[in-house]
This record gives sequence, structure tokens and C-alpha cells, in this order.
Amino acid sequence: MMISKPIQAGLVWAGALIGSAIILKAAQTNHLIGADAVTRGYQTVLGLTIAVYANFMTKQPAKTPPTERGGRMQQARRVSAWAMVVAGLIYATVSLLVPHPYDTYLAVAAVGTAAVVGVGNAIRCLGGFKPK
Amino acid sequence: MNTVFKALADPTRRRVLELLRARPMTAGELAEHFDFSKPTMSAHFAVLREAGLVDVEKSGKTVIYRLKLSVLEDALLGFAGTFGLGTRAKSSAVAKSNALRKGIAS
Repeated sequence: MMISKPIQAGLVWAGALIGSAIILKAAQTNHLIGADAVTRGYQTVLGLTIAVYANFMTKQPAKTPPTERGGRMQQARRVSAWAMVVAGLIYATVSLLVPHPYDTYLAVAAVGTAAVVGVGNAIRCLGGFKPK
Repeated sequence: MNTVFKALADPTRRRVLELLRARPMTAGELAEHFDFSKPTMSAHFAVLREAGLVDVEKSGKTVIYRLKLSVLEDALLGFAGTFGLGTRAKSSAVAKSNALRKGIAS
């Protein structure tokens, strides 16, 4: 049975997520790390997941026309992808380093801001409104 | 990844990608921006396609090229452009070939 490359990559990444969760839990069970480190470790992996998936957002096929509008559609995708990659990396970093509960606030704020930037830019690029 | 670095090392191919950043373009529109022959441009397009940096669609008689860069590849393109990777190697190769031509002529 042939499995397409994106599905293969998705399965490998899912395996890595499950594997890292098992390793972190095993380390906690053996008193090597505390519950806080398990949460931080897993949140970091989730942040990296966002960054990795956003990295490939612009690789997805899109039949944009060779016109100015097509260029704007392409631009909207690029900005969304960049915003999400940066947000994912911020999510991972703050989950690892910033004290609780500020890590959660900052991580959610980063992803929320990226989502707003992505959607706002898409609306602007596709002619919904033009800022002054 | 090696093919990506190879594709980004050439200033002409980087220029093609920068043009495609503005909007998807047909092969003819892209070729208008360069003084190279058609086969040379086709070779550059083939390298970009092989590296997975552009998406190609045949629409009737025209071939449409679209940017297909991941964020990391986009960052690498910016990096290579900023530091002019491959520009010096290319200009020294051109200088060598010019010197060789002069030598043959004299």
C-alpha cells in the first residue's frame, strides 16, 4: 500500500509526539523530573508542532492565477505562515523558560496574535478593506 | 535539502524566486526579465522545479510558475540574497571565461 509523503510525515510526527509524551511520563514516574517539567516539555513539543506545520503551509498546492490578485493571495498565505512559525517558536520558548502562569498567557497571546495577523492580512490582501 | 541549497546558490534563480514573490508568472513573463537564451532559462526553471521551490502548471500553451517556498526556504532565500551567495563565484567564473576568450583571440 502506497502512503503519500505528507501522510508519512504526519504519521512520523504523530509518533514523535506520542513518543515524547511517553518518555516524559516515564521520566516523571521514575522521579527524574517533576510534573511541571512534564507539562513544560510537552507544551514545548506542541509549540514546535505549530512551527513545523506552519513552515509547510506555503508548500501546499494552490491554483493562484498569474495576476495581481493571485500575487495578493500568495502574499496572504506567506504572511500567515510566517506569523504562525514565529508564534510556534515563541510558544515553545516561553513554555520552556517563562514562569507559570505567565508562560500560558504569553503562549496563547502569541498564537492568538498570529491568527489575527494572518486573518487580518488575508482580508487586507484580498481587498476587504485598505488601511489608511 | 542539498537540491534546495544548489538552487538558491545561483543569483539568477534567486532573482526568479524574487520575481515570483510578487505574483505567479508565466515562463515568458519571467524570461522577459533576463537576457539569457530560452534553453538557459529552462535549465534554471528545471533546477527550481527539481528542488521543489516552484510549482509548475501547464495551461494551454502557457506554463505558469508559482512560488512553493516553505518559511524556512523563504528565510534561506532572504539570507542568500542578503549575503549575495554565489554572486562572487559566478562573477569570477565569468572573468575567467572572458580572460580565456581574450587569450584565444590574441
